[in-house]
Amino acid sequence: MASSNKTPAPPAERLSLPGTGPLSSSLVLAINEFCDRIDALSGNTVAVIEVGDAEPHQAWPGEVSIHLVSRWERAVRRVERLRATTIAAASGTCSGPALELLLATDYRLAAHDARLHLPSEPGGFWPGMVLHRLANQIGGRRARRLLLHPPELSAAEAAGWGLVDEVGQDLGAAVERVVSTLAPVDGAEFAIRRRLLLDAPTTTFEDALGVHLAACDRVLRRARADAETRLPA
Amino acid sequence: MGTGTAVPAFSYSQEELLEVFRIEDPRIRSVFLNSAIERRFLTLPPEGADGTRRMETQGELLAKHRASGIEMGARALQACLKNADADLEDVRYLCCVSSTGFMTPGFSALIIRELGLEHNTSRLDVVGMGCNAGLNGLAAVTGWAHAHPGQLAIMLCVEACSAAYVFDGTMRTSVVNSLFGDGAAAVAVQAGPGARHEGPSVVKFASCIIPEALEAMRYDWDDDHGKFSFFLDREVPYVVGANAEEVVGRLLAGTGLRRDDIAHWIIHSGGKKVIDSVMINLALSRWDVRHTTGVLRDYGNLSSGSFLFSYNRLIDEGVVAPGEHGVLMTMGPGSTIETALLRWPGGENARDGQRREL
Repeated sequence: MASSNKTPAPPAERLSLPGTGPLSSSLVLAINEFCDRIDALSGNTVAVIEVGDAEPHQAWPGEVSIHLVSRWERAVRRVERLRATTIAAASGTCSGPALELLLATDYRLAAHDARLHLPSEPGGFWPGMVLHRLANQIGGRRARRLLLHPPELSAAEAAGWGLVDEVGQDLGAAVERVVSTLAPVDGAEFAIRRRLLLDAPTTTFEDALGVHLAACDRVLRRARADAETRLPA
Repeated sequence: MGTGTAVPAFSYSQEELLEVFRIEDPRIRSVFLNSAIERRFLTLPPEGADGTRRMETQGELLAKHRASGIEMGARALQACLKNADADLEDVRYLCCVSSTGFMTPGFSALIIRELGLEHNTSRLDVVGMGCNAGLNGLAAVTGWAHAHPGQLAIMLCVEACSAAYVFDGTMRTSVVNSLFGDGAAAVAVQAGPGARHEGPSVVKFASCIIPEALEAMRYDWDDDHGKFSFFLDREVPYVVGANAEEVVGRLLAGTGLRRDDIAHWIIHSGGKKVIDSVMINLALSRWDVRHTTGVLRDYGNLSSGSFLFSYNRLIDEGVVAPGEHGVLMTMGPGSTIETALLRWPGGENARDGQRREL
């Protein structure tokens, strides 16, 4: 991917995945290995997941066992909890795997030609954790409308639904720009805020207060430690 | 490993305790009612002529620690042996852990006499180390078990927290009185061939003491009351949270495991704030600490035996898969964090069938 400026590209770990099904062990393994690579890195990194396919949409998840579905859900959850900021870059056909991963990332970019195919087969919408993420991200009422919507969304429609943050002509340049923006972000610290956000809709104020205070205390302690290391000997 | 637990006969909701002790101060009522504790098993002081609970002397508290401790401890040990498919005469080593009173000889001798254990049973009493002591004791017990393959070693945590209460209406004592509950828990450990119960192996221990917070948790003599009194600094939850990452990092160093590879977290039910702080600093979910919060809700802080109550719930849940790893974590005076790494038997790691050898 071409960088949009002449400075060295900021650190980014990239994963390219097919945009459409079926679910397979190799798909789960690829995601876990990607998460392993990021977990092994020290320092800030941005995780870029490129999804999309020139192939026509295929059924999701296909003929698979519930145990493989369980492993898939755990892998997507790892992406959602990575100690790094995460970007999805979608182009072409984006159905089952692409859509589920897209919804687990922090910032979603889509090319103009991206078509998001909802996992809505004859018999109904696939009831995996994608449904839970939709409800949390766009609200139960809008998610229900989406369940009854024709299964394919253009990039612009997906942005309108709040599933995509940005639609652009030059996806490569847009990804590099966002990577540059997110590169200074401490991924481990961001993961704590992300967790608080994910938990917020299902947690009462009283139950949430303790963890938010613990997160605040962590910030204050780190600031004090930084100040002490900057003191002249 | 087999485990067993026991609690006193009576439990009380936080509301009932406010009623029993006629606590009207709204600040203290708030501490009780916002503790994330629903019930605790306690041995309350006797009622006076006017229906109020009278203050116990230090001598009465020590007698309560002894009597209640022997009774709970004996039941927990018997339940543990039943669970481990073992008999009283199989016990070769007994380590008793307690911080809620002092006596010599200690619980190990008293329990041996009470249950009629063999007179050649080796023993150890870990006294006064506080809420973390269950893992300090477990380190000694696993060490003994490894030195005596095939022989059964027991750790028995006996905490009669009702015997460590001071009622003076201050916030200092109210924080303590709103938190702790009574309970005993035992775990059976055996190494080498002939182990009669397929349980996890203890792979490794890692400890951390924070001397600058030495005074933050104390159980020491209060001359004004003529009693031992427990003190808990409000900074404790944050001090523990701030050091949790480092000690778990050392526990996992060299094992090839990362925090994400740990399937089961058994953390001492120290209190709502300390659980929250550990959750944030170790990036754990509410699901990860479900047994920790569940035990706090149903029993309060049981001091050294708390983590075994949580461990029991994990085993009863039946979700542990072969080859998975767990972390035990306890925290207490020192200030101290103790950790242990467990590995359940079975060759396959849960992640995509990849074998992970330590």
